[in-house]
Amino acid sequence: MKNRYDRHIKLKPWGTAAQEQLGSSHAVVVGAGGLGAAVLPYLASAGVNKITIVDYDRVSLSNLQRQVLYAEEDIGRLKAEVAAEKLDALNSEIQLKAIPQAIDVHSAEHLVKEADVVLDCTDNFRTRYVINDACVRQDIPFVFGALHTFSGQMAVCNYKGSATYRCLFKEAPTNAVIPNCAEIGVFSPLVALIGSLMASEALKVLAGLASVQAAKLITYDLLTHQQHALSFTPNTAEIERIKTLERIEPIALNDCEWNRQTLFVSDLKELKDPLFVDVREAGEHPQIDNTEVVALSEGLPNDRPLVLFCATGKRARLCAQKIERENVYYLKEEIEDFIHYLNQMKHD
Amino acid sequence: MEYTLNFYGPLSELFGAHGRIVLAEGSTVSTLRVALEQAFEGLSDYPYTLAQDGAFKSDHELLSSGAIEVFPPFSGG
Repeated sequence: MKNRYDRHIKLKPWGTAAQEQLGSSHAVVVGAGGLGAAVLPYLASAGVNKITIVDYDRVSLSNLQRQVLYAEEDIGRLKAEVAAEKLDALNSEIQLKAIPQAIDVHSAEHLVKEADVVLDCTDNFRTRYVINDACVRQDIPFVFGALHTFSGQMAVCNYKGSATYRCLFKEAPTNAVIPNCAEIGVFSPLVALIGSLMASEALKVLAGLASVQAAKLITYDLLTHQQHALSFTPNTAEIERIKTLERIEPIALNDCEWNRQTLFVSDLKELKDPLFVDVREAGEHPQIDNTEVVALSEGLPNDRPLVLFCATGKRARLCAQKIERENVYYLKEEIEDFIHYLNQMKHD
Repeated sequence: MEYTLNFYGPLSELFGAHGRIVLAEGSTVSTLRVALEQAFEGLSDYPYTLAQDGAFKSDHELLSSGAIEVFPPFSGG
């Protein structure tokens, strides 16, 4: 152990005791996208004993701009599984568990129950509030990170009785006001910066260091290098409410979380075996004659990604919100572009 | 009393990075919220939290003289 972790062990507030504590700890990382791909190598290389990686998504070409854990050869593969393989190559002395599924109100408490820290690297509020609530109910420290173009936020919540994410932002947004990276873009070095801050705090939590910066919203803007560290206090009534719920309440669906399901024609080739679902009225022009296109009224298979489309994307988006399963997307482009894509596919 | 406002994330894209608002001395954070949502159309659509002097403030707290930071949650990951 000494050689591998020597540079940490030599650190004054670290030493052998902290390294041994880290070596018996368990981190659950939810989301292996931008932030997850930045966080995970630091946890693995530092010697966190067990890392559970939860992500249902697959690697796509547009991920590679910032998710440097992945390579072109990984496109189409499950991120949780690829991440576990890469981390195993980095540190074969630790335990890695890939869980390629979404986390929701039904699975959250079970998935986090054995964790010493949970890191929220997701891109939607529904999951963030569910993870927060699961951690509050089980007294597990919760490190979250979030991005907006060139700016990022992170905080350690629920650490030794400190404030939780709901103490900062009590309710999830209920309408389409907070966009995510898929819609507005993200500056790639930002994921490394915020991911690094998250990993730093998680390692301090796991190693038992006294300098954990709990209940402080850390913000950083990479355009101006403006930064903040703003403290927030526990909302004891809200914490008590979450702890005494019979079960975690689902967060109401809102437009922002559906942004991740937005697809453009250029994304289609990255989906494995998609079925295209025409949500337009029967007889609406232009008619599309393609075996991979079905009407919404037809029975939809559960084992293929569904891509809903209409003339402009608006109706497809509304329909996508009503289908309660994973792997449902909608096309946000004019139907002519989609038809052009289908024609190209026929000729290829 | 005039307060300097600093908006962040999507709020800065809507209202600019800085703004100003005038409130009576001794105003609380909840008074500020009402005034902000009247002065900045569309702000009430957003969740946001208000900080001053390095700390977020709850609605019943009194404002001090410092600049007011207006932070929405971010979503991307």
